[in-house]
Amino acid sequence: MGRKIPVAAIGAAPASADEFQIYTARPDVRFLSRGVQPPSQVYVSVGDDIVVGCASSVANETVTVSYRLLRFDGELVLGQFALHPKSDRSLTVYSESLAEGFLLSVSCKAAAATTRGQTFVRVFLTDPAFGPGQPSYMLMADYVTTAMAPAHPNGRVLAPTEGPGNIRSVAIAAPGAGADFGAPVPVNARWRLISAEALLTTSAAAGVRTALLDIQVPGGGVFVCPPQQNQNPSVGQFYYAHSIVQYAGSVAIGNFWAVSPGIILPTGGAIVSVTLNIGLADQWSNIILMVEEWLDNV
Amino acid sequence: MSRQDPNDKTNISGGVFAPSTEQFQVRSASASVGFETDVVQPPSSGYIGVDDRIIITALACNGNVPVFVNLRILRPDGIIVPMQFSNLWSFVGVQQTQSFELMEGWLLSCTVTTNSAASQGQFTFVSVALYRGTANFNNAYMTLCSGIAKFNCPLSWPAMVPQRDYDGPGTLFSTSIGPPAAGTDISFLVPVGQRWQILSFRATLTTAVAVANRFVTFVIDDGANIVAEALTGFTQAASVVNTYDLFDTAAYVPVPVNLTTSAPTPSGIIATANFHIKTVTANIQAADQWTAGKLLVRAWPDTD
Repeated sequence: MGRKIPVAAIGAAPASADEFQIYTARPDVRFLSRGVQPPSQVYVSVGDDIVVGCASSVANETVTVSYRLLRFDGELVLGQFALHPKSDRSLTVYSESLAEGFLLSVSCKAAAATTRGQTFVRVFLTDPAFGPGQPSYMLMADYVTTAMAPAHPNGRVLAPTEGPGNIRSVAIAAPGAGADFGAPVPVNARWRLISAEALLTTSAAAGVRTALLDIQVPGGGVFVCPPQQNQNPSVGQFYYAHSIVQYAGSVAIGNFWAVSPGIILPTGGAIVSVTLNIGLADQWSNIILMVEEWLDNV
Repeated sequence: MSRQDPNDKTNISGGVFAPSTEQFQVRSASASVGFETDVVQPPSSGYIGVDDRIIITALACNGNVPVFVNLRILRPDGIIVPMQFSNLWSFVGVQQTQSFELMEGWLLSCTVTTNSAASQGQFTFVSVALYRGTANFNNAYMTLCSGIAKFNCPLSWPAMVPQRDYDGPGTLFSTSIGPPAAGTDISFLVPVGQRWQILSFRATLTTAVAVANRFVTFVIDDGANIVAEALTGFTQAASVVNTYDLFDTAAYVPVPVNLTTSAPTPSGIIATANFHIKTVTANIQAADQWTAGKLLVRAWPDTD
């Protein structure tokens, strides 16, 4: 209606609330604004700590934990701390004493992890009466990333092996000449092998090589994936491993290993080559695995 | 004596004065809401009546795993009472139940943990509920926690959805199969209280000098009927050592490579108590010997 929009002069005081009046329907319900019950069911008693456990496979990770606590005197306190887990998947634990009050919310954010399977965080409260490490109230446990900040309330309490993992490629350093390659599952991880690729270059030394792929499980469980065909001297041949491979007739360009799609290897497991009749100058190279990785035992 | 000019940024030495704190006063909005801190509603939806008790049911797939159930109860007089129940569930594969007295009040939280890292293949299913009447889960009126209790991964109420015994990814482990008597096949019984997904099977057959062509079939039965069979495709003559390597989607390699043949297992089979995992060797001879049996399985507890 031709109402002039006020333009504050530089240096003038902030506009009054009248200038920003919101015209909306007035609700019939009237809400308390004084003497309001604390909007949380998480009561923190004297002596309780907030404990955060964190593990990661990512370098230079920082997990920032932010929380809001409504103190016993009605003051809303904001708390924030950061954890710097190592990239070796070991568990880093931090605890902080809380004042008596009601915990309104907790959220966690990662600085480096970009997908599930990389950085796992578990947040809980402890009561000293239960003894060290015993949780009294679980708040959340889930993977955190740069984009996703799991939280309490409305977050989930999960084990690190639940849900999708981190799909990643793993480059394996070439072994010495005449040696097989091996890829052990890292400590505190579990792997599902999706596919693999490796190049075997045989020397002129006589003898037919048979390259097996062994899937080794802790406790001695091993199963062997035989190749589709043998390899002659003085040949460079790629080997491709994936599941549901139909072995065809002889092919010149490569070789295949059929592996199981459902095998999940815990720590202590390994994926290794076993080359029968390997020559002293035979060389494995270009070794790449594609795995789905979860953190485990953290 | 005149007051110092606030616009004079220098003192007599020419250095810059530090700005006064008034210029950096934080003008934050003050809260309009005031919270009640004297007469607060109990922060819980879990009221425990005078006659209510707690019931804990556990199914241990390995012995002597201590399970801790931690509770905090807000009594009517305002005192918070922490309570801890712990027990060794020593009867493997048998569901056990214990119940305990509680007190009137509000349940603030409940967690279930173990205090030791589980080894390969170790897991305990725990369910915690409130009940009234006789100690029976049929009388439970409020399930608090349910799921696999693991080191580092507590079950909890109220922040966790109760899970069934066979929810989740299961536990992966390998187990050895003892050699049967000469001239007999392998027959492995799935333990009571567990369900297994068979991922791989491996065993070695050493045939005696007795002339015959042996043919091995991998068989799963439910205790009464055969539910799956996988042919190995290899005819094993006398005086031959061959390892049979079977796993999901393996390619048929019926010609031994490094004294090993491979074949696929039936994919996705879930075996429960009373199921057998076995070999059936046609033309097996009295001195033929199965050895080095190994199974790789994904396992869950099974209270059904």
